[in-house]
Amino acid sequence: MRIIEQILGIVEAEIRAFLREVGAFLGLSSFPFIFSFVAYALGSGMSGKPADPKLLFYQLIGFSMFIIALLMTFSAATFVREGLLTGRLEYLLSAPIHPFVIVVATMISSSLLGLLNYIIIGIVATVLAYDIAYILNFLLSILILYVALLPALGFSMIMLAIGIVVRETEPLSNTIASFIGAVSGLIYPITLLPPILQLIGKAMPYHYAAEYARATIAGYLDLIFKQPFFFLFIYILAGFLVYKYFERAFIKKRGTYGW
Amino acid sequence: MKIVEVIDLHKEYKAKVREGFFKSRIRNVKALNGVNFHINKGEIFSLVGPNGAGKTTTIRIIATLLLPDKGEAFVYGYSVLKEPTKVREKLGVVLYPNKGFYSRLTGIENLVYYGRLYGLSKGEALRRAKELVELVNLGKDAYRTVDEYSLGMMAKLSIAKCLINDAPILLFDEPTIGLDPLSARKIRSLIKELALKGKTILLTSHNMWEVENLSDRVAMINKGKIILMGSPIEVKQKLRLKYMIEVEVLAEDVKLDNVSIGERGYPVIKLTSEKPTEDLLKVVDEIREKGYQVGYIKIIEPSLEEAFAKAIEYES
Repeated sequence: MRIIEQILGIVEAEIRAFLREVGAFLGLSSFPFIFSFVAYALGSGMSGKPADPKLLFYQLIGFSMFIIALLMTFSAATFVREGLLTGRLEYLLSAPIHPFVIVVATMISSSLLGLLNYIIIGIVATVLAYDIAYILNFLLSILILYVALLPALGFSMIMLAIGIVVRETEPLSNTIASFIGAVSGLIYPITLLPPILQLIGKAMPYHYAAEYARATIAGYLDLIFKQPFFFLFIYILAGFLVYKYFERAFIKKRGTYGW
Repeated sequence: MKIVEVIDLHKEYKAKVREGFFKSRIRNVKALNGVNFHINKGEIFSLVGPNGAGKTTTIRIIATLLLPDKGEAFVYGYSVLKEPTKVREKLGVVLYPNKGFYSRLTGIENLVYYGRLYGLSKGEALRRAKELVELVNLGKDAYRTVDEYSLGMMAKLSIAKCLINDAPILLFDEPTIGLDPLSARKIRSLIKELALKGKTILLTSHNMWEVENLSDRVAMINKGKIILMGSPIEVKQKLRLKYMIEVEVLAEDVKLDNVSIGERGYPVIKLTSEKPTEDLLKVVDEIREKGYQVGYIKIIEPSLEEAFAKAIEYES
């Protein structure tokens, strides 16, 4: 049961620490509202008539899912970076803990933070665009969203692998995050993109997660089974292999037991 | 009983040396060059040496944070290379006195976090954390967030953290560095208290006075090699360090050797000696023979700092 205690310990500490950074949490929560309202207002202004509220919903849900996706993808790499700066990482690694436990724990904690964000924004978006009666659909969408985002664990491990090698993960993760946001059809329909970018977007889990969640809220559950998202679980395996490869290379180069 | 055993440790780092904006070359730095020692149960063993001598590298290898290039270390008979998890269970580590915590969490919350990393349940970890904050005298400060802590409070919290898993062996890497004298004193008395409770302690420090007062045995390390080892007294004896003898004579006109005027205005005989008792008796006899009275007698022991300086001087 040690692993469970370790995961719970990390998750609790991470969430507590983050929630006490009021500014960071408010920023995270207000980001989707700001951007979606701006986009909605711009759309209305350019077309000369009020846009469909469903577009606002589309954007709000898209932005909040974008945050969850990014948190889940970069959590472990950010944790390593923070740990190096604060000295926590060495203490963590001097405890009897497996690095994979750290990856899972940080991903859980960041996805829980994302979930809190998603619940706040999703309820507002659902009520604004549909009706209070759709709230149950929204709650179901949380489950769908998280299952669909599981392959992001693979991305998280790839980012961690890059993080332990280059140490300075922020510029890289910002670039990758922008790319994921641009090609996954999170904040606009993927069909608006050139075919090659659509292909890349559809080869990553984020597009499907957003589509499934939106479809679940709108009541089109059957869509889920038309998408090849189970195929995307390959990402977890690929992520694990990439991570192991980089970890070994790092250990060999630095002469450490782990990171 | 040997609790920690370090056998022929070698470690080399590759340091990047910049020679221009794009140009750099790799320089090999030998951090350890065949380090051997052991620590007995319940002992405070100190590693002292100049910066870059290899103290921290040795501690990190024992703490399973670094792999040696050659050699082996055992903790409670477990190999740091083959059984790192077992080794980690036996160790409590302080790598920095002022780092390693979530700044937005309280001292207690940080201790609970570390407790759970060692597999304690939340309740157990909390109970243990409360005991430890009492032990290290953090008191109510344990319920403040760490970003409000002074360096001394952080150092106490670091020690509490290293005790959270009730490990029998504690590794302290310069635990009093940067602390004010009062905080450093508190940390030293804590270390002594822990040794009395049966913990085995490996300590590194630049403070020779601290090492001399705390340690049962000392190893002096320089350029990755142990150059001298033993109890502080043995180390000084090995280097044949001399004692300083001071005898004040209560007279105005004294006709003796090695006399200078002391702080109280009386003549003081000052001499260095390898055999202070014999030489002191000779001096006192001579003073009495001449009919003078003795004011005070002082025998100043050579310090470990002198031993350290001499050992390094010999080595280089």
